[in-house]
Amino acid sequence: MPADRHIFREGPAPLRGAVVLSLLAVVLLGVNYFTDWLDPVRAKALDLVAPLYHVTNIPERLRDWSQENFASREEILAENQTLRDQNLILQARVSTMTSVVAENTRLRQLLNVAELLEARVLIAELVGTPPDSETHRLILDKGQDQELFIGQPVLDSQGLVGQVVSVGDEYSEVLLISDRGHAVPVQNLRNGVRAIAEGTGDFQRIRLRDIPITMDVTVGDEIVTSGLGDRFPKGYPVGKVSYVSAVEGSPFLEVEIAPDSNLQTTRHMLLLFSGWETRVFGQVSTEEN
Amino acid sequence: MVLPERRPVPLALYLLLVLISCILYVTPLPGAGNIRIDAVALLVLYLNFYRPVSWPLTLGFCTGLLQDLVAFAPLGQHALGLVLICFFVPWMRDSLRMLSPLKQLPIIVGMLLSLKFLSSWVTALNLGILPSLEAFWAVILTAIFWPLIVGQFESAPKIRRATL
Repeated sequence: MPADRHIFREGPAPLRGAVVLSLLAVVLLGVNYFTDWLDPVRAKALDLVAPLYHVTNIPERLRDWSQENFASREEILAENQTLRDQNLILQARVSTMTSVVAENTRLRQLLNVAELLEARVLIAELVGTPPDSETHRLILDKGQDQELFIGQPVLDSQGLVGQVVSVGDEYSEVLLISDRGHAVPVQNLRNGVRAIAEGTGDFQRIRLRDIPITMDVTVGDEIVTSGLGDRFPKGYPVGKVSYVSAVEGSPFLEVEIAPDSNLQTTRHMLLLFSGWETRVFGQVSTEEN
Repeated sequence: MVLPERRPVPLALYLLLVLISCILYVTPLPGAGNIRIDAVALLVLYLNFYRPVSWPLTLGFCTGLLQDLVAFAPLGQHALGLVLICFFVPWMRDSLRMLSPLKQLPIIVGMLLSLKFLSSWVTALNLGILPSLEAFWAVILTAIFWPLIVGQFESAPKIRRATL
């Protein structure tokens, strides 16, 4: 093979090439920052690179598969019994909830308040987490094919997880509530005090912003979404107050909440469809799970 | 002293190595949270030190763009860092290759830190957030693999012969 056909050779690279390519990278960053022209590229890239994340899940899937297939009869019976017990407890709770819902409906009618919309959900599975320690994001295995949309709330069995920020054909990207760039309008379930909960970059802590020092907030208070801003529906659990402190000289309290959802461990999530997106995106037909 | 030219690596192999390093890059480490080994940066550093390429900047830029796509980072973030790495490494390549992999380690840590600094700077401009400590743990963890890789692929006798 002639030397000029080798792609590898010694010697420093030319300065002009380095300057041109560095400028090109800076221009791309600028375009990304100032415009949304690259959003379609990112959405397409989501579908192209998400299979890579599937590859990283192979060891975990193999472990799950072996656990499912090689579990002993005693283990399966024990698990079955646990599920029966849980089912019994949940049925009992549902039966008490029926009367609560009925009472709630009557009260709403008395107050002439519109009925809360029944939320429709779609179950999605975690594909992977992008390797960036500065942002908290997830890749889910549902996308535009399932009518997902940007801004869609994502929950797990315990509470709010985050919202969809990018949608490909078959995959979507979710920004977690613990991400430092995320904020959600919330309220204290005990006294209705409203606030903004913003991520801290720590999966275990979310900060409540601008809570006046005179406000009644105590450790253990349940924080739920307030529904303001029309992004998240009202009443979904976000977390419990874990830390309250008055900072000397500051008119605001330092309040932190521990998220209810298992942000680091959850694998199955609920994508919430409700009435508000039909106003913006037209009629949404979703498969219910 | 200029070291002799190394055996060229075919482009197909380069692409395969980039693909493997991307998979390693997105693979979560058990119990390490969001800390990942930056296998792509390690690959580019290794190739620039030991298997210099004809179009280092172009390949570095394209590899960086691919890394941006894989990491769902703003396009250009990693590309900028890898272009600069590909530009600066050749200037110090010959002198550094004479050192043992362990003695190279501080320089590798410095380069990975510079990459991380650049990347964090872009993130700070984009999202208004400063880097967390996790980012620097990722650098240390990545750098640990450098002596292992160099020791595996560049055995000591070869290095000694090359320096004669």
